[in-house]
Amino acid sequence: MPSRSPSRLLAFGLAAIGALASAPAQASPEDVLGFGPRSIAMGATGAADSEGYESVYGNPALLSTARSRQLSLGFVGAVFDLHAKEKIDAGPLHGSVIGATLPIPFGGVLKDRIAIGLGFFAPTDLVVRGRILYPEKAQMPLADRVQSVAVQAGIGIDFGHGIRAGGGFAALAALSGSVLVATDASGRIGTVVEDTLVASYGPIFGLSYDLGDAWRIGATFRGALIGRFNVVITVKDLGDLTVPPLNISGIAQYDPWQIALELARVKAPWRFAAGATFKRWSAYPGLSEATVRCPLLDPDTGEQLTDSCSALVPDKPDYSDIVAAHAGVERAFEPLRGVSMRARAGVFFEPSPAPSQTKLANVYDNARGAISAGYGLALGPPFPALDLDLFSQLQWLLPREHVKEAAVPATNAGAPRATVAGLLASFGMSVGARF
Amino acid sequence: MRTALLLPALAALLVASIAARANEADAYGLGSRAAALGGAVAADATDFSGNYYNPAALVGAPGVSLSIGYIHVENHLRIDDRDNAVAPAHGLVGGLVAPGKLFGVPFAFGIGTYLPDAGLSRIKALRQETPRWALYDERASIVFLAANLAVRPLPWLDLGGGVAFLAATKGRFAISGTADVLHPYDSQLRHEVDADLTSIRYPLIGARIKIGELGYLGLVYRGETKIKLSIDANLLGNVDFAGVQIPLLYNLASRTVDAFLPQQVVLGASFQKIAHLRVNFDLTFVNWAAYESPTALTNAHLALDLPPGTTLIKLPADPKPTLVLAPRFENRFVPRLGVEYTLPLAGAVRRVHEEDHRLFEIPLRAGYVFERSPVPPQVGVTNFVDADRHTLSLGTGLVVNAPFAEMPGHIALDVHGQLSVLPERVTHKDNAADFVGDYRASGTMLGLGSTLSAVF
Repeated sequence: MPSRSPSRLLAFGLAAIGALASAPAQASPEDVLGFGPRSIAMGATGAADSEGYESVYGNPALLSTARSRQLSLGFVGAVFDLHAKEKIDAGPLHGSVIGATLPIPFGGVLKDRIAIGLGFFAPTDLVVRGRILYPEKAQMPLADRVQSVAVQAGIGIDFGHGIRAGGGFAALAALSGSVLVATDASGRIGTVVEDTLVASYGPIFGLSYDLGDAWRIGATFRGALIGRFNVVITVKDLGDLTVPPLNISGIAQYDPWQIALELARVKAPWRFAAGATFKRWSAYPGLSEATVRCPLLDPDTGEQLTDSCSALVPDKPDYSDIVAAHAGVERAFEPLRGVSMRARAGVFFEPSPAPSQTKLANVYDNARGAISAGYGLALGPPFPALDLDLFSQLQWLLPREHVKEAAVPATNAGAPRATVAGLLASFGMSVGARF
Repeated sequence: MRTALLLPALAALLVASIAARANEADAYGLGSRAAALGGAVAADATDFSGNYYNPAALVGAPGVSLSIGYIHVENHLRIDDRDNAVAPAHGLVGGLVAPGKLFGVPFAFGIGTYLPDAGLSRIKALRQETPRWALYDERASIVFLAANLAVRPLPWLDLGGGVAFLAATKGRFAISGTADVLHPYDSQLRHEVDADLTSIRYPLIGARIKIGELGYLGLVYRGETKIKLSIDANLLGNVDFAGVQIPLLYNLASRTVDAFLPQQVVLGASFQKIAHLRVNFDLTFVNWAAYESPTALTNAHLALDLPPGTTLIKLPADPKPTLVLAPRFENRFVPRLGVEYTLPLAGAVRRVHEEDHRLFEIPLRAGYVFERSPVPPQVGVTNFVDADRHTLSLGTGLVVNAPFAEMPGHIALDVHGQLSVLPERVTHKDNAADFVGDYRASGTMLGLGSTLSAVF
């Protein structure tokens, strides 16, 4: 596309990206599976090669490649088969997808430069799952991390000269509240409950650069997305005895901040993409938080706490940063005028950030290797402007043995050793209409 | 022991967190234009507000439109001349409409939202005896998000529909360990939670019929929504009293139905025969008679294995089952009237959306709504406080048509003000010994808002 007043475009673009990025951000199923049937089929790639509404997650900058309004509706399902010493219960995932791309019909120098996109995944009956179990129970948080709504929006801008930039956000629901337990005028125990459902946001930024008409590099930054709930129970006026504030709190959903770098061939008939994603898991605070916390000041007197404080503190998870590798390929066929068929395949490997569970905890995580395949059909004139995309993905949770320290009781669910492995199979489709 | 007392409170929290009742669009209007017209836009909502008022009208959008705005409403609701501190409502409104053609048929997709900036929902759990403004307390503290599709199968007929979303909470929790009653910060307690924020969807369906040059008729159905909830909880641990470990068990089960949003049917008309003038009238049937009490049914049991002779610890008795009284709300019809006149102000005539417009135009708007209270006289134990509501609204704005080459459509900035008056309503209790007693209720609400739209 020829360049038109780059400085004016740049000013407008930065303002638009800033406006979106300052708003809210992201969720977890796409971090585990990928987002969108094309991206998932191509090994969860997308930083340099995403198309349509999938770009809100893959790389918002690439929304600017959209030239027609598109609305997509789809379905995603996944089943788990997870084993430690015994089978780990993990319910299936099934949900609907809504995606939209909307090129903004500016005129003048802004013509065909800017587009916005929306991507929405909603499990059939869930907004988010907040399961924080006692750590000694055998569990695999991966299965719960996919049980979350993904709400994403972004804007992409084509600055010309092959340079594109974009920004957006993903949003997640969290819970905050307080409970006051106290005696009322009649001397009976009463409660006052206030509960607020809040939104948690994480920014997404993307850049891409076209290397000629066949190659593109892309980079995407996704901010940490944290679904925390925190309910503080305060007990007052119960005679001479005091109860400390009780915190029913923890991290229900967590995506670390991450940077994806990718190189893609974007010219038909053969397209492919390969890249790596750095994930900052070392910042993960862990599932559970302390029920009783030691305050610096006495909440009743406002003075320095003089009472002893030896409340339980959950162990830190000691997760490590990881780098995941992704690759995907797509072959386009055009058997008829107005008919484009695409066959897709991909792989990825993601190491586990979690340490071996050698102590009391049995919060398991495994390295995952995945293969995926998909099919796309795009119709154009003389046919109705419709798209159909299918995908399937199989993830292997590579077997991992956890050997307990000698001090761990034999009654522990993971003692004396447990080998954890499993499968995650996902599938889905979407139908899109261009209008 | 005190720890055990916390479990009912936690249960109440989880129960309470589903108590979504209504939304900002219903109470105060979605977008400045609609609010200024008293919400009488069922036949005339071609902007993002159609996602609530009439999805069918979205297909009448002249082009792609993006809107964002803000609304702030101060509630001054009083019982016996005391302000009840009903929380103000404030948050972002916005949405988009994307019209086009699909299979040669005019088609549109829209999203509309209200995001309260104090949180997606804010709920207080109250006993049924506690006086509360049932229709307004926390009423607008619920997120509204709707997505709709619309088509025009015939030149005179628009059809549309979609879903709106809410979020609820349900779950199970447990606290275990040892509570040290003499040195509370030495308590060795921990917790476990298995809670889901669940999604609730309810339908929005609409139709719009063009009546020649006169204007449009609109018909809208908004579905009812509610949640059946069950909560189970337990505490299993010890109370440490000066070195004496006392085993404790507490079980709780709570069942409730809440998050009630009444179904509604709206019949609207928009008279557009006279250039620059629109006169709108809506009549809404609201099925408040189906309202179900949000009071929870709770069963709880506390067992403490006290050593013989222990006197320092007294057990609270198991709570008596709550007898939930039917609220017996009444259905109501809500009339809405809105008038809009667009004043061509200045500038050269430009061709925008296949019509001639001045560069600058100023819309002038006014609206009126009367909402009869659906709440019957509260002569018994319950205290659902409400009163009739009269709402007068005014609005204006500035429309700039095709201001530069990059913007072939128009940009509109709309503002509105809204005043609601709730005349005094007196409640006389049948029982002179009623704990709450007789009371008078009245109030006002003052709302201001603005919406910025770009239509391409």
